[in-house]
Amino acid sequence: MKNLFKIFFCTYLIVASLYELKANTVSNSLYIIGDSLQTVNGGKIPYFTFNLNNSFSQKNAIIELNVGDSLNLWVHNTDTITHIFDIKGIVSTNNSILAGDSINVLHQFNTAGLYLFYDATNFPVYSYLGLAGSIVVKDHNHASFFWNTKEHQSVWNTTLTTGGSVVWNNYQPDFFTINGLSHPDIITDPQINIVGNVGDTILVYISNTGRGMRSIHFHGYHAEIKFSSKYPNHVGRSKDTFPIHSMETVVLQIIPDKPGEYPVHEHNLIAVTGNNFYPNGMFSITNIQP
Amino acid sequence: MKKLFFIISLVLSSSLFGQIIIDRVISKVDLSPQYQLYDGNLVSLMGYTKLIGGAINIPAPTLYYNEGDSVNLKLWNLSQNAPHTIHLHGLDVDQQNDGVPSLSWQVHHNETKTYEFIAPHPGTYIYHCHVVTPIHLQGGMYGMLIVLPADSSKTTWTGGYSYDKDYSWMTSELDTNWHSDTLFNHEHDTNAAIMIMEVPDYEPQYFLINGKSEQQLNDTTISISENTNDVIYLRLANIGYYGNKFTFPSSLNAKIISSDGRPLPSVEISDTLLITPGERYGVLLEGNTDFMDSIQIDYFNLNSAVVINSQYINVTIQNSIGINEFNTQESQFKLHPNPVKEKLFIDLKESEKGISAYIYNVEGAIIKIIQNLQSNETINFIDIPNGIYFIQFINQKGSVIESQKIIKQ
Repeated sequence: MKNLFKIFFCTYLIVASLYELKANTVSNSLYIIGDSLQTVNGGKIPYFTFNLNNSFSQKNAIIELNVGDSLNLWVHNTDTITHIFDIKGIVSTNNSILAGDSINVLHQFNTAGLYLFYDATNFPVYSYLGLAGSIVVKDHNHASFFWNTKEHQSVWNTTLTTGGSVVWNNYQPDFFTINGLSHPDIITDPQINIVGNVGDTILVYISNTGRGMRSIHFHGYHAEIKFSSKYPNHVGRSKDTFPIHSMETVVLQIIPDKPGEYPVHEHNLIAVTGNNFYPNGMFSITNIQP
Repeated sequence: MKKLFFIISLVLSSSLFGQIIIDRVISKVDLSPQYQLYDGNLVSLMGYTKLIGGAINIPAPTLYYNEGDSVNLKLWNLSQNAPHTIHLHGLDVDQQNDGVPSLSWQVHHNETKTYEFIAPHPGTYIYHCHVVTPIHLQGGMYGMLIVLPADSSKTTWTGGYSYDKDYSWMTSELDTNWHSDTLFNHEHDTNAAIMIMEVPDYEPQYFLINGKSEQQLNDTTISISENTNDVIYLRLANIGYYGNKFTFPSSLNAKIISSDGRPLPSVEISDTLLITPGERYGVLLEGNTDFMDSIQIDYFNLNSAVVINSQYINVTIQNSIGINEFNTQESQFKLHPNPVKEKLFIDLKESEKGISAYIYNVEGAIIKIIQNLQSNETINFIDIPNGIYFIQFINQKGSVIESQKIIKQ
């Protein structure tokens, strides 16, 4: 009996120590930076992003964690106005970050999924202007791809950054981006373009930080919903087209059964255009090798 | 002996693994406006037909196959100008047969090419052109593709739900500014992998179910008219560029059972359903009481979430005992016309004067009371909504003499 107890106790210690090894505190910094987004037609529109370092990139930060990890996050406001930092449904700081100031956020993520951080200042204005990124919480080691989808009515970016107002009911975007890029630039982004082999387990993390609703269609394969921030009851559904509401996320799992190159694109086909030119919008290609 | 073995093998293989199906569609463009919209306006279309001389309709003819069929679907392009393809949306076919011009082949004018695939899971799919997709799809090059169970039974899938009747509704919108000669005759470079094309702003004026809207939705292939307790299988597909919100009458007990050609892991019981472009859903409906109502379909702009238009499809659920059976020949009171549109006439014997008539709706609420019926009494139904009603004749002692059923149309 004593030996049995010893075995159980040792097993407990081993499992606990392994868990401790996996569950880390991950330190990261985000910098709120205002600059401009280069659109697919070469134009520039006012834009803000959360970047992982103090130099502007039009791709918002994506923070990767494992389940159980604690995120120790410093958010630095390099802009000239006050901003607010929230993690949707998890952390509501309600604390303004003054220009040039910083805040610290500490949170342990115990559920796998995809979470949005964004600027709640005058919502949805600064989120629309670019300040929205994502936190990936994994419970696996499979190949993963990360999409932050967004759209812009380009003249509104100027209007909003110069103190004007807009009527959201009249929203008619002319640029549609994934990770700040449109087709054909999307094709060269390794975080967007899904690659793998037949039989691989592939996870695609898609967030919608735009104001519109997405309808993403996969050619070639059905995917299983592993996480849905808006519809948890949809987990387990096998589909080829996925609605994603504004400021919501899904995680999809694909296990390719055949090789080939297959498009993944918005099926609101207006979102596959850029400045009214097809196919300069949300259009990517999956490449699966035998 | 070898022959017998071959025949047995052939029979077994065709029954177990489906049949070889040779099918064909023709891609065409009608530059002269021929397709009539609900308000009489005519528009030109691009589209698919089954027959060379067949008029283009939206949606294109529905293609039906059985699970396991080996399908050879030929596309013959007679459109004069741009090449076309067939993308088998949701069928997860291989790259060669996926119909994406930059990754496979396209069919030029007067060419015929064949798409080969095995019909997969029973369910609802879409076929559409993938060449300069926003233009060709808006032009009308889309249709439904339905995979039935291998035995063609009225079940949603093998081992799934049984149903009595199925309806297929494909939603879309139409912007007449996109149906122009300039767009339909767009430039095409036969060597280009993907044609880069400018498209107009999208501001649709027509909101369609199976290519129809408004009063055209009274079409018997679209509006629902079934018996009480019949199970209806509704196949829905959205091929437009707007979102759809379906609102079902609660009396239809809507159950959402499948999406994108796959059963849902758990049935969702809901009177509302959102469908975004490219999605398909299977919904079971069953009315357990007599009623007339409508299914509302809101078309909302996906960017602004503003509902731009709503369409309504009539639903009539009534007991399989029709008016004639319910209103027996022994009736003392002759009602006509029934169904009624404006005025209901009651033929009354002289001796029956002094009788009152109470009109109820199906929920039992009194709609009208007519005291002291006169011979050749007339009841005005103009202000009464369409539906099923009951009339009770009551004598001076307050006893019910007779009840009859009335339908207001």
